[in-house]
Amino acid sequence: MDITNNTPLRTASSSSTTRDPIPQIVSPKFFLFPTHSQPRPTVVSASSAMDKQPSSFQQLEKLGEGTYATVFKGRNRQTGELVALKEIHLDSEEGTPSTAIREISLMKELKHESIVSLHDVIHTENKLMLVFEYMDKDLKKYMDTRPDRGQLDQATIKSFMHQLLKGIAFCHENRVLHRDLKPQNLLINKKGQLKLGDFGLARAFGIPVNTFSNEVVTLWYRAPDVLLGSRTYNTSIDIWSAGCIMAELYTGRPLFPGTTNEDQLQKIFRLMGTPSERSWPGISQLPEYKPNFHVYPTNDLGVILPQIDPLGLDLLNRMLQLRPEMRVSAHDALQHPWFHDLPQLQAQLQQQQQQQQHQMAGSYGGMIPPQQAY
Amino acid sequence: MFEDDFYRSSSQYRHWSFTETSLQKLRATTNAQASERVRAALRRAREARQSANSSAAGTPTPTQAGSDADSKAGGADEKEIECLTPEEELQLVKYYCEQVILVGESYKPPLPTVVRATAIQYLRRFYLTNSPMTYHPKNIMPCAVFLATKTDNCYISLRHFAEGVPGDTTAEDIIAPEFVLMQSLRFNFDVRHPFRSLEGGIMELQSIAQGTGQPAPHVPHQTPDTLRRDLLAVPPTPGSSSSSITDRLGRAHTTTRDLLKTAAQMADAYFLYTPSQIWLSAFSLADRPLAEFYLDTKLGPQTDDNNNPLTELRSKIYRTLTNCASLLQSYKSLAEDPSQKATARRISKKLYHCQNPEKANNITSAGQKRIPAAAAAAAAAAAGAGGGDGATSESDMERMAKKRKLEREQKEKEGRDLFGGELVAQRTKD
Repeated sequence: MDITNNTPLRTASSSSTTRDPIPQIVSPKFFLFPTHSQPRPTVVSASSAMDKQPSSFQQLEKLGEGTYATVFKGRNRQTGELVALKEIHLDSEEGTPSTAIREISLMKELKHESIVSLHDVIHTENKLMLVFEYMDKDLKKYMDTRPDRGQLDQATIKSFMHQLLKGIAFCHENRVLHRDLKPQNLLINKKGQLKLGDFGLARAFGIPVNTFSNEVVTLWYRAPDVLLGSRTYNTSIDIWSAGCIMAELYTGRPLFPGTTNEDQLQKIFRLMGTPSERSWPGISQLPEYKPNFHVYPTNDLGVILPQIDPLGLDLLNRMLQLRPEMRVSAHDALQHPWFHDLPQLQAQLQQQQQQQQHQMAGSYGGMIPPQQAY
Repeated sequence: MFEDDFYRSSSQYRHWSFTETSLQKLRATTNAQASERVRAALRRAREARQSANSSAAGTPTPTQAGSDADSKAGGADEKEIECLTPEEELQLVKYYCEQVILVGESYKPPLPTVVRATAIQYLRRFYLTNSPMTYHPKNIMPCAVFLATKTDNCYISLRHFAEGVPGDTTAEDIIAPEFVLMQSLRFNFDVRHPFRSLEGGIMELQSIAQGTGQPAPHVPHQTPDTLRRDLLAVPPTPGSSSSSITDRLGRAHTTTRDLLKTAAQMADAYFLYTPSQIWLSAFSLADRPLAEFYLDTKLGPQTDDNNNPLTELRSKIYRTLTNCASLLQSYKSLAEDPSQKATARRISKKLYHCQNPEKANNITSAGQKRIPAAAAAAAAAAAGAGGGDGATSESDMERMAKKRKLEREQKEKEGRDLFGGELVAQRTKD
């Protein structure tokens, strides 16, 4: 596990230029029918993105390397704005990789504060470059640079989880599954924002539920139903990943670091208890189900997470339900009482940050601030 | 957020929705610009040839023998070339959209409906800002289908894909225009189709039929029972015998789906209406009383109360649906109207003479695939800037002529080619 695919970004001052200018329908409630009484935007000439050349950006250091892309830090020569440049390797045999097409396809639709924003797509002779907003680092690196083996404080955990769930909820409302949530794909900036990145594996879903490949999601964050070979998974797989990430934020270590599919299942069962037809009707029909799974009792998650408070533990338990139908939805998770004191906590956090920035102000001359976030 | 809000945030709404007038205007502009470019390109080629001829008088160029393109172009020296009209362009594009459906059939298993629908919308979007005179649809069409397989999670390797494309189209030919296509689509790959809304609507009606329907929050007197009772009391469509509600829903479902797969793809429905409007219009064509019942479950029963905001909304919706339905009804498939094929053939022949030689050559020549627009534009600018550049465009013309001749001969041998080979081959007989 490594640095694959950080899709970084830039901050602030962003592009709302393409927002729809016409909220024109009269009735609020209604789900159909925007009218056509007014001309809609019809600008179809080459957009500004097309006129931009790669030379508009100064390429800085490499941030990461993925299977189909290399990510560089970059700077817009005109504005000085930092960006992340995701350079897609074009396959001379197959044209633009389908992962890139899908990522562009989804990122052009998903505009949300908790999802990394795609500013531009630039094409040159032999490469395709996606220009994302710049983010300082991914959650994995962020935790690695923390003292205490990456354990985070309560307020930061809560704030990150809230933003993570907001991003997931937005994806799910737009009928997109991320399918590959892990700390490496969550991006952090100095303002304490967390955003979902890397939608290369994401896909749209619909009704009726399609059958999907079960080759998704890095093993450690993979839901038990997927590990058991289910091909009709849905939004709940992203929630399982979010639960694993929440536990990791407390301990600094992955919750279920399995090495193989079986080992992954075993690590999950050892902690969460081995499911049965009684606790999970239909489980025995799943392709990878074995009647001779070692039977573990259910353990209390609180034992391995001594730092967590009872409300947080309750939310975590709702996310880490073995049976997919029992897992809480992102929308409901955001309503959980654990988040009720978030505004106060955030106010405190902000104060701390301001103090820190104040202290640093003297030495802060260049574009690139010290790497210590917050 | 409501469905409307989601749809309004989509690129389809933001960049690919039009009024009839704006759509028409855009197509007219595209056509005018392309025609101007074709005329300029042909003029440049002619001038280049003349200057080459006068400077190298007496030295026959190798192409002069056997290149009828050259001699024809020479004969047309005096009169301006006749370009395609916007209507002709649209008809030709429609013909190739129909071909997408056939190409999809040729795979085992056939390409999913959604992939084909996405490909058709790519073609239709592409030709809003590009003219067939610049990029021949027979070249763009396979690329659009291939791109759609990537977008819609149905990716197959290019080699395998190429095998399914009839004719002698090579893998290289297929991806050659990929960049031009992606750029013209403004990298908006996500297409919102009406299929999902249809499935949702049918599921809702099925649960109402089973007595488990969800009453609308703003229609207080509905209950699952009254919903079910009202559904069963919906009058049958004129001329049909009464049947079980399950059968009726099944039939309406199938008919609607067929309309969405064909009429909704080929007409301008996606540019002018939302997915919900499209499926409800198609549904009303399939079973009008059922569609009206469905709307009533959302809007409440019809009243004469003019102060009720729902009354105004209802008439607005009905107006929209009626317009969309008549658009869908205006569609005639190739099978229903064989004259379309003859028309497409005629337009193809005409296109043969007004294809922009500079562009056409760029996109198909080997080793120059996926030319970035910037480079292409620079090349065009360079070609346009100096008369001294004539030699290049002449050699382009020569290559074009040779290539056309070769293609023609091949097509004649093959006799039948799905992508217009037949149309071009026809030409040599007259």
